[in-house]
Amino acid sequence: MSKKQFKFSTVIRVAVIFSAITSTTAMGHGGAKGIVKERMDSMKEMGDAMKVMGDMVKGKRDFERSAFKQGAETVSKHSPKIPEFFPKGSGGGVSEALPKLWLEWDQFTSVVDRTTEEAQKLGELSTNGADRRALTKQFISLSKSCKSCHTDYRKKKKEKH
Amino acid sequence: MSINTRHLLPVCSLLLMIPALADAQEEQSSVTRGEYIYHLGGCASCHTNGKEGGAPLAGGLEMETPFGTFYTPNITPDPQYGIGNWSEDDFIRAMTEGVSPEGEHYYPAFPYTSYTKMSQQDLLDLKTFLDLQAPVAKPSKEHDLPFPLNQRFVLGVWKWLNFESGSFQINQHRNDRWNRGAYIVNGPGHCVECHTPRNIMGGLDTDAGMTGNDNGPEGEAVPGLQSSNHSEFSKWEIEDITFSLETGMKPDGDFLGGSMGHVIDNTTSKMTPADLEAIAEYLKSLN
Repeated sequence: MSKKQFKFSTVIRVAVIFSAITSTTAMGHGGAKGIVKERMDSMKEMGDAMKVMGDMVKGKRDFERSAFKQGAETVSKHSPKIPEFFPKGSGGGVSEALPKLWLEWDQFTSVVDRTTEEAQKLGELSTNGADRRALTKQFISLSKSCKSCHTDYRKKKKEKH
Repeated sequence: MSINTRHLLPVCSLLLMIPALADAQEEQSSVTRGEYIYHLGGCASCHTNGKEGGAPLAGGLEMETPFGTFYTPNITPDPQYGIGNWSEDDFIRAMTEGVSPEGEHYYPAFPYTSYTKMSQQDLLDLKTFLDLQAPVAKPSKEHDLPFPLNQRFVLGVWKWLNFESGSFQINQHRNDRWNRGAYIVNGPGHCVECHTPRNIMGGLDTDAGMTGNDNGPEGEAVPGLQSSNHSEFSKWEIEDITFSLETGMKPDGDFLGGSMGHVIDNTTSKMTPADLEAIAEYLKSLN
């Protein structure tokens, strides 16, 4: 292989890798756009916060109270906005929300309110010097509240292998 | 020495009461164990029509399947419409052989295909618990199935091809925890019913193992749980599995939902930490 050819193929490879990266970024959340993408991103941010705290609860990461404070803040910030993220008619397509969500709107928003309250409670505990046990217990309450909506109002798209 | 009979009488009656007390205690622990088995089996998930506010265990939940629509029956202890008149043998036969006291075959929407692996003790404890629930005098609704599936004798053929009765066999090469996990997953927990693919007749493709089912209940794609699946699940560690079965949270901070959400509510969130660990150990061993 000549030096020139080598360089050319390297350029191609870099281009392929680059385009693969950008296209997967764009394809994240199944190519969602507009409000659907906004809510998926918001959910993802909450999920990331939950992951950090979850890893600590499971003992996979060193326990730090500050992480619970931060995580609880993230969820408390995003959670109250959830109803705005689900305007009528924003289901279908790449969205994983079930039509039932809009039919049971009051119930949906009451679970959202509960989630916000649970997150705020976790935040208070983390600043009041609560021990690991108390934080774990409250984190589990928050998780169960999150799960409640996911059980009733979301249909997971098929997992890609 | 003279014995004062006035004092002897209460002593004797107390002594007589000991076996009765022991019986009452045994019955109480049977009820407690039975309640736990009731949660393990997820009985309420199908036999209580929560969607329409039905009475506990009175049935009536609509189950749409590719073979027609099933309505879950009343399993309250009502003697006429429920199972209040069933003997222990009737109950065990229904659960392990899929046959009613009248000798009719049950459709495998009732997962006797898994319950057949349950131990006699667990089944008897479960019956003790069920017998104490509130009876509901409400007839069970007939299934809505096309011909020839509405002919129960067809089920005899189906069972001959797709069903093997027999209790759980301990694997001597594995520890107690693994065996406990295997028992729950394949027996009372009936996890395999959704996580194992089905053949064209709707029978479990047991050779495939728990490799998932793209056409699960309510059109959901049910993920595989074997490491060879290279699914998201295959990367989960023991504590990820137990935590998700308790709370629904996945390792990435996202949440399980749909049918599994109900399974968590009705079954796995009520299990002891030891049982959750047993399930996790068993699942991690599957490849």
